[in-house]
Amino acid sequence: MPSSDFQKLHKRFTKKHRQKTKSLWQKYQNATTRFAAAGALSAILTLNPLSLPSPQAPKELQSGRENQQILATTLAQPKVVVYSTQKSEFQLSQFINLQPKEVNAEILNQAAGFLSQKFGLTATTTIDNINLPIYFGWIGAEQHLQRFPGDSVSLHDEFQSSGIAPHVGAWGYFASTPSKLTNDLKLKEEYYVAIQTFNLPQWNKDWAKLKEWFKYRKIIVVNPQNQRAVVAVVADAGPADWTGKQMGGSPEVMDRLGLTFGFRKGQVLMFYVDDPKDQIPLGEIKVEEK
Amino acid sequence: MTIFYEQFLTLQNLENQLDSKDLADQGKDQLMQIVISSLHHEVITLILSELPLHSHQIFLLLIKTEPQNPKLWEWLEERIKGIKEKIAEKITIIEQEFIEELKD
Repeated sequence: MPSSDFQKLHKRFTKKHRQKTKSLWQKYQNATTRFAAAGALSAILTLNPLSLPSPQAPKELQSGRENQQILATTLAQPKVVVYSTQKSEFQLSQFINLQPKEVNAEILNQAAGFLSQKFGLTATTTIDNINLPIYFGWIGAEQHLQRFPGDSVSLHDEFQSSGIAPHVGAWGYFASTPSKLTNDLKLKEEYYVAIQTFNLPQWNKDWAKLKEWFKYRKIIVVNPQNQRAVVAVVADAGPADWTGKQMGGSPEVMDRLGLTFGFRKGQVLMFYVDDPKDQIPLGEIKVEEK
Repeated sequence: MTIFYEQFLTLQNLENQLDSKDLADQGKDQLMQIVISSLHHEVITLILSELPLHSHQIFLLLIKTEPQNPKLWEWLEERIKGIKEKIAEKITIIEQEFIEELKD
């Protein structure tokens, strides 16, 4: 589409956006009581929900005992594993403007080393001389996977609106019956990724061995845009090359990476987590620099 | 999670329509950001219009402090019957409005 058409659409969308904004302020000003949080409303509306900043206690809360009490009792921090380490000179943000073809082995090794240090785990580009199909590329939103015969999306805890894939994943069901679905397997479905194993150069020759090797292989996915990271397992193959994406993420993975808005995709880094004793838990991990 | 109601922000129909427009990814993202910002205004308007006046302040403080906390739902559901359905419906309506804007 020519840029003039984009500009036409942009103009229309912006006009509509202005109407919505105006509508809110009109309603708000019509309220009979003006309350002290007028500043708070203004701040909330200038926030872009795509990139909300880290929560900060507003000044109003610092003096409002009632507010503090409600906050303390109503809202609890989500469970996130936080690793706190020393600041490094390496910056994940350098990947933001990189094209996949510009990413070489050297920078990938640096990134893996950085993540290892950050999170106290072993992030690596290769295990048993087997590489990942890709380390930096586009990840797109996947649906839930069927965990056992008869599983339905209503039985999944979160993100039911994401739907459930009509067929089992590349490695079949996680359990043969609902009663055999352990917490560990449940977590594996929640934090799974799909990778293009079929694009590995040795796939056609060694697929039987490789398929078993990749099943539930632990990996770390990092969004360099917001520095959010997730430990997950490989539990499906895909997406198809024609989609333009090279990886897929479960609804939970995409959520933890902050990629559930808009086109629900983003450029991420992916590495193996070498964890033979299975000591690194699945789920979000947080970068916290000292 | 970046905001508590994001589970309803799938906007698949709008995305499909934008995809059919052969826009550059960057252009689509810009348009989607406008839509999401508009939706945010509408969701806040809806909640404020349904909440009793004395709860406005605390809601604004809650969403400012912990916009991603899923427990905001519990807080809202105690005060507004069917708030999830209302927000989902509102998002669908706004999405449709923007789809209409795509038509020549």
